[in-house]
Amino acid sequence: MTASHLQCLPTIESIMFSNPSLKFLGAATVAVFVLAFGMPVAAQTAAAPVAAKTADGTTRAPLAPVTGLGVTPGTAIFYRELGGKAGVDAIVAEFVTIMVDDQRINATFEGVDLDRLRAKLAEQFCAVSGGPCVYTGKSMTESHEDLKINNAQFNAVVENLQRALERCGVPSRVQNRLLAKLAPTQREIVTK
Amino acid sequence: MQFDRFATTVLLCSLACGQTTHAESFAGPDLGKLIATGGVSQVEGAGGGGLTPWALIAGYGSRDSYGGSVHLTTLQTQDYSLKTAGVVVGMADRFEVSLASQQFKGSKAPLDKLELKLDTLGIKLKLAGDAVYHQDQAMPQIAVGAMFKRTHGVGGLGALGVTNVKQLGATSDHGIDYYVAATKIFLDQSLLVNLSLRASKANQFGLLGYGGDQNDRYRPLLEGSVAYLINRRTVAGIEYRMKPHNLGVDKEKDAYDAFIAYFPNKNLSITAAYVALGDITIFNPKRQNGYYLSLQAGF
Repeated sequence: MTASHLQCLPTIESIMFSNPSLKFLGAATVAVFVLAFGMPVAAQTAAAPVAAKTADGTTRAPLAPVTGLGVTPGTAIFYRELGGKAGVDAIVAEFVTIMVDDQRINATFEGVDLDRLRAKLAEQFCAVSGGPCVYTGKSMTESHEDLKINNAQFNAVVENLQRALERCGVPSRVQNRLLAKLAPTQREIVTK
Repeated sequence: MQFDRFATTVLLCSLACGQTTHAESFAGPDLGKLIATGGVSQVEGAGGGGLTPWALIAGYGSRDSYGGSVHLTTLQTQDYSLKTAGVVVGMADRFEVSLASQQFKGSKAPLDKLELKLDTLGIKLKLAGDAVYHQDQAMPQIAVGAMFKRTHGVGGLGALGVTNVKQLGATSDHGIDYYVAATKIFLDQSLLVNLSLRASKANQFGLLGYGGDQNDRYRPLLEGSVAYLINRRTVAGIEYRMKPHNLGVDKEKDAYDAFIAYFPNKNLSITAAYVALGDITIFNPKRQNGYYLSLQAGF
């Protein structure tokens, strides 16, 4: 299963820590389950693989149970809070989907191998959050120097990442920790 | 009347601004900054918190663009009300100009007819650092600013023969505040911290003029804000602002507030706060606490 086949489902952990907001309708629904049926049932609900139709009509492969997957003992808490490998893959999939749909920036993705982009982003997020990964992609300077990216475009990408993290039910303080790690790349990425 | 006219102008402008907010082109206003990173409008109209100017530049224009906003603020304590209407423009995420008009009214005898007006022109220049991006550096974003203030006489104390702040002991009815602000967003902790140092002779923000019979020199005044980023649209925090004590008739106290600001989108923000202003003049020695509500519309 490639990252592109992952869909974003909130993990139990993220539900417990997320801020209440109407935007997290999905999370709220599961939270109601928690209240109505208790934790064990809700855990099954969140972890149950469900096939879903994507926007283009293709059927996505079911999501493997998120809880515990890709998390080995001793892994950084921060990486675990992102949901481990499955969580990061789902966040990246959502992030790339939002970006290629964003008129402000999607011209920069023309001709880009999106599967490779997803793989490298997942490596990067995993590495900066203390996960068991090494980033093997190009440097931020190298990968962006020809794109003439301005500050508004950089911030558009940040907003898209925030949206993806929100949709994946990542708590705000965990979102900000990830942004803190990525924010300094602005100096390398923005060249216009 | 003057205040009403200004408030109307501000409202009309806010409608006009609404027309431009959906511009997609990067040539115009680009809404290029991240939500909430322009701050809200502080009491004198500059981009900041409620009481304190921050080093952040107002509006959502990125460094390649411009932005701005209008705001209406009402502050109500037991015995006084303060209404503010203002407009602020931020250019290239570097320079900020603000204009605010304030109307202060009393509701309790012997100051029940009291009416004071203050106009403030503010300028701010970002000098160094970046509060958002420089997460790997200790350096905060630093800006310097000035506020040019003028009061417009004292209303409602005609029975006492008082029509001018100078008759209450102030040295002047106008003056300039200078400040340097340092703002840092600690994303790792979801915290915003601001520290400002102001040099001012302003009595009660300038409503009671500048300088006085007790002191007529510029004093260094410390101001601070600490805010928690609840999520990207909601910020809550506390603020402190030192105030001078220049007038014999006004044992001016420092001000505090606890606020929550909500940014539903980049065109709108609403701030609610609980404010402690201390007592205002010896004619009413009761400490004034109350509510602060501010609505901001912009791009």
